[in-house]
Amino acid sequence: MPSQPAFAHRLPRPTVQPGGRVSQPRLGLDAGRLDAALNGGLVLAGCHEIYGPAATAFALMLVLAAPRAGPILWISDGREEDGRLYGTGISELGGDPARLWLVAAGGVLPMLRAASEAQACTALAAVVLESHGEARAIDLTVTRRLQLAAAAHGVFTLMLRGGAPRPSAALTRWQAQAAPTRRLAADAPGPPRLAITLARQRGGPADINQQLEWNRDRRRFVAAGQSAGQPIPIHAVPIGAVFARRRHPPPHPGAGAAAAAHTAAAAA
Amino acid sequence: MASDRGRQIVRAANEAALALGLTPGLALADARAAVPDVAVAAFDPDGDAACLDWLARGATRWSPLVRACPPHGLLIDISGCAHLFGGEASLVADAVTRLGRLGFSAQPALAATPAAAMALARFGARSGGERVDDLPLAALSELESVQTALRRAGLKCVGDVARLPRAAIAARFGEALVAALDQLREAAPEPLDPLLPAAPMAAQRRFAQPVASHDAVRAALAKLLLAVQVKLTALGAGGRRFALALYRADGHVAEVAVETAAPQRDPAVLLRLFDERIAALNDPLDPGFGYDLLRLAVPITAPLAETQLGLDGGALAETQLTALVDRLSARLGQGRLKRLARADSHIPEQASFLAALGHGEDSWPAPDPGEPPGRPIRMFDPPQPIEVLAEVPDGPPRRFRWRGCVHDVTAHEGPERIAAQWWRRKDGAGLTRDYWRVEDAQGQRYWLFRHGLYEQETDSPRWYIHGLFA
Repeated sequence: MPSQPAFAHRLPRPTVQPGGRVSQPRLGLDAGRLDAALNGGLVLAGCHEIYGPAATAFALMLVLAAPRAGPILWISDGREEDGRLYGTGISELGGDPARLWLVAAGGVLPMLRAASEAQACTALAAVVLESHGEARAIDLTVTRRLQLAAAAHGVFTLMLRGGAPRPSAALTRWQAQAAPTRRLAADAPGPPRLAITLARQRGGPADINQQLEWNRDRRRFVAAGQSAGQPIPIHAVPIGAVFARRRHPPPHPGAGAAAAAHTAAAAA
Repeated sequence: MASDRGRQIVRAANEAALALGLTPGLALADARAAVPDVAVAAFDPDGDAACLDWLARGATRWSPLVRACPPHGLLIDISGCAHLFGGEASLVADAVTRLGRLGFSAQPALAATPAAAMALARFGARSGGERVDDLPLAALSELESVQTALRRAGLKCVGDVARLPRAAIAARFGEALVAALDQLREAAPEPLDPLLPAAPMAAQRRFAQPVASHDAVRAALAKLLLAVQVKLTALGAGGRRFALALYRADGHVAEVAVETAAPQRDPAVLLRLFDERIAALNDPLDPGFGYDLLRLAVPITAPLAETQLGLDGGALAETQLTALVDRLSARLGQGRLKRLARADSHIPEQASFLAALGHGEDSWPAPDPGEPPGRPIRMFDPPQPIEVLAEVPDGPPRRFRWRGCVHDVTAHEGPERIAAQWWRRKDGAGLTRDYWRVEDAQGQRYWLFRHGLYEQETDSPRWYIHGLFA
């Protein structure tokens, strides 16, 4: 690839300057290594993209943690394969569902047009774009435009994307997956926990894994142990026709034996 | 031509056919025998009604109060409108000319009531009179028996009947005839039920030469918006809905409307909304040979006071958000903007639903501190069926298959039992749901439910996934 030094001066300087003390408002994740890598946190006046199965949860947590008042405009391309946002659940995550304004744009292009309208409105707390599948329309130019608008108007912009990561001009790229939670009494799943990877950062270190637990009452993240270099597990194992539903299955090797032991103890 | 009990008869005929003696009611075979090369088209009542409706919309250029009168009548209330066209006579001439250009032959009539105008148009030309009194008895009643009875009493025209005492007519022929007589003789008012409700405020612009260019139309629209703004400011009001009707020279009317979340009268803002609405139209505006009339109506108005901006910027943010909502709904459509609304229901999918933005806000109960979320952030509507392996039929799920993948349950909480709304059903039935909050080996958290209590409500309860926590 030929280098084009003449072109370089036309590109704006990166918003995140390594080592520089930029007085931009940032959203800290309360996770030491991540915040250090991010130079203090996510730039609020910027565009960030999130991939992975837990992207919705991570995006909701980020906009709830962001110190911004006003409505959150959630623009989706209108596809509902993964269900629709559920008000009671968002309220249980610590958010006020009344702050969430949903726009079902009915396609990627209308979604992007709506986003360009929304990014000019500084009264919004955040703009979230949700696209499904490999949306080819969201290319380098589009993400560059989104990033410049976010920086110009100071609107916190998040892109939830599907498919494989594609080139983009967003400040950061994240992979968000669910992580096994802390066990509560009676082996109940605990507060939400996510395995986050900072996959890419413009002008900064990347490839950092971190498990974050969400504290609903404080609306903050809590770092949950260090997991440096540990690969993120793949979420599910597809199988063939081996699986069949049985009416009276054999006891589960782990918990079943424990339950049986418990029953025996109770009988004794 | 239409089928009548297996026989094909002539339903309507044009002037040339009438001149050849092919009158409505004739059998098609007889008509073909008389004129072998007669052109025949099937009778299409729906098409005729649609055409009449289309004409009625076009006729709103003369007056906002127009009604289609099937099978072939158009009623136009021109009270207070005639002077805009240089008097009643020239308005009528204009209407006949325009209809003639479209290939319709029109029989105009002017009268003080719709019934009289319709009767004059239908029967006036035949009786050769301009006065209602000269009209034949058919104008009074469509019933053959009534007409015959009147004729037997020696009455020949409407005037003859009108000279009789009312009580006698009512006693002999019924109240309906008296009412019809009053309407016909312009003695009783008869309200017109218009095709489109008349807007409280409107402005229009007429072109001597039809304009076809987008820029010219836009400039005219800007002037109309300015005119409407002056009127609205005088009233201290703003519009919630602005409807632009573009009258094409060939009779077609295109309509574009924008709605605003808050009362609005700023021409610049409204022009931008119209731009976006027109850009987002599925079938773009086709000016054809050009528009010769533009009318901007404001069907919905609301009080709008001059606002003073607050020092804290709160009003400014509010204004910005309202403008954003207007622009998005003009671009994407009114139904695309939603908020999460809350309903007082214990059925999960009814507890939270999508409602139109901008109509009230719900207050949501604060969750119990310290507890993990008990409801998912994404919900499947409808729930998706899954295959579940449980140790005992009414126990917690151990393993489930969803979308072709097997998930091993490592932690669970439940059941949270949610009963069906038995009081809503006549038989009091409905299956109870047992909800489980489960986590699989990878940490994904799901909301599953078993539909029906084992051995009480069903022998083989089905499982569904209802939501995702992360």
